Amino acid sequence: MRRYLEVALGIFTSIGGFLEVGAIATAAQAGAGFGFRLGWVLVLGTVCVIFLVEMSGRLSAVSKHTLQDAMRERFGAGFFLVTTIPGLIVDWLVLAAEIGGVALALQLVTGIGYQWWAFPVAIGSWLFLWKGNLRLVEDGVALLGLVALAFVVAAVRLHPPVHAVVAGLLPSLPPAEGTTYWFLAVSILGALISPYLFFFYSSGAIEGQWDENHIGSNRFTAIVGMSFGAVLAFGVMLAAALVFHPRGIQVERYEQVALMLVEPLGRPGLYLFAAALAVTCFGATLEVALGRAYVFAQGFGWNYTLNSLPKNSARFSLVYTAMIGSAAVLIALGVDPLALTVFSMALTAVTLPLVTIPFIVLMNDPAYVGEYRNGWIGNAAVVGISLLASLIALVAIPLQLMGG
Amino acid sequence: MSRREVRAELLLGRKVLGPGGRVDARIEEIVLEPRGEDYVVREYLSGPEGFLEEIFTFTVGVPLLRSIPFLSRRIRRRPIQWDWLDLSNPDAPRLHSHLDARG
Amino acid sequence: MNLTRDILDQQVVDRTGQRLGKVDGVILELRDGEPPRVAAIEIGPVTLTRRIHPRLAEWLGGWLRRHGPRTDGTLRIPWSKVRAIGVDLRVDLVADGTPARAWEDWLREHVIRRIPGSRQ
Repeated sequence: MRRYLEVALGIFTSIGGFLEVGAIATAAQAGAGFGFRLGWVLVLGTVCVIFLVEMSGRLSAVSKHTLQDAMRERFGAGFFLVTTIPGLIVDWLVLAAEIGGVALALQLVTGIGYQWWAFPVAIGSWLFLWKGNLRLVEDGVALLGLVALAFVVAAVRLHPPVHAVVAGLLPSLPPAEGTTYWFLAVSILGALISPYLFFFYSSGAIEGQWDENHIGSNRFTAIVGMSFGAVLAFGVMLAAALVFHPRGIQVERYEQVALMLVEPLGRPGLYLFAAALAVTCFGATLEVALGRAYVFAQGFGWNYTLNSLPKNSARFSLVYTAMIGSAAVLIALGVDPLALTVFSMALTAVTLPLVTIPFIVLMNDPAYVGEYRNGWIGNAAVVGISLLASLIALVAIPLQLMGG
Repeated sequence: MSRREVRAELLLGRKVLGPGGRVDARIEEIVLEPRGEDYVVREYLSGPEGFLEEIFTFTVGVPLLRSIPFLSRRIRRRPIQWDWLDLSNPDAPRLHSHLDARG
Repeated sequence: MNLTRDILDQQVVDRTGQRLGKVDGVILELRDGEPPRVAAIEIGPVTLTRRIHPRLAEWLGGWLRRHGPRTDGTLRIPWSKVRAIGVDLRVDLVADGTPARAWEDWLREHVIRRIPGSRQ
């Protein structure tokens, strides 16, 4: 029973943190633009995220600190304040993109413009956090998110050529349009490896009062949960590659993205797409807003818990309320959700090392993780991938903005 | 006996002035020891001056820098005993004139 | 025991387990002929901000004193009240009524309570 609940946390984290509007949009554009060739980026991102999520759980279980708690204590207040500002800006943009995702899903189904859905979606997500508790949030979204399996079903029904798919799993250089290739590559990495994910997961571990006995199941949860999300994201890329790429269709709007489920699944595909988009983005909305509220509360030392009434954690509750409300304004004003999504994912990639490098330091510090220190593989993989992502993003983003 | 207060959190990261105003080091850590019911300062740990240090101290704090193994061996920590440091001006801690932190 | 590693920026928890805040500052008492003594810890946004920029801290303090509960939220806890230093710093105090809780309490009364659904 306990293992089931922990796997649920993993799957929820996976659905809200792994497969959400960022992963769907970037994987779809990658499939449409480059077929199977960016598969290796998905693999790289998945590996990195499995390491990082497992670390988040291990750190919390052994040190009894959340990631943000440990970061302020180990590196000081100056570090906390300086690094929390870029994180806040990026999280805010990502949150707006997720709200936009739910709003777009509703537009697909009802025909009413996404701008009108911005505030209803914001109020709905806020209510979920205001009245709910962490368990409800985790389990509810995890269960509903299973609808995203539609992407995998669709991909299978389209009969992907196995040889080409496997070839795409190996790193390759772009055939043409190098800027777009690398921009999409870092956007995928930013979508898959999102810092809010680790802040949220480690807070969940502390709220669940994990200890050293949880280390084994944490490892299992991280691998199974994130792999599940990876399979879903891969399904998106494959379906997009098989539906759009042969026809040379560039994905520019979400209505087009929905087509990737309509072709293999017929009319129900449209509703399945809308459902999958809505649920995964809803989960992500909750995770990003909560993650940022946890960061504030843990950085400043406030009370925080979702498992009691909002009035018992006033400042914490107000942070997620303000985040959701203000982010919704962007969507209500008509900012293009797809462009916002891909851009905010690329920005996430830029800020990655700000979180991952201190994280790695903590995971090698016996004062925090005792004898459960990182192996050299984990260290190398995480540091290498995040530095790589950041450097490529720093080059690719300006180029894309100028040319793309 | 006169009593004065100093904020330890502002002392950390301050440059220590040597004889003649020459900058010697930065205070990175304050080591305490128990004495009865209290904790008192035993010594101050410092590291060398440097441009890299300046940047890191301002933004991320020296602890991060020291965590990188090969760098930490280059940053020597030289303990300054409590009575070597003159804190009459807390914004500019000075070594008493007959001492040099490079000892 | 080291000041930065073991005291500064640690979580402070009160007698009942409530979170008071982080140790934003440590007050040393200077004495003639005796080593400086750890006199108190301090919690508060002004104390925290002063570590970044003193002028910003002054401005923040002024703003906090003019609004809401009209306090800058600084709480100084004498070292004698510190009971344990481990995962958290435990102090022999109750959080309620202290300046560290002033803004949390004010926001709860004036903002949260006015939003429906906060009480059940």
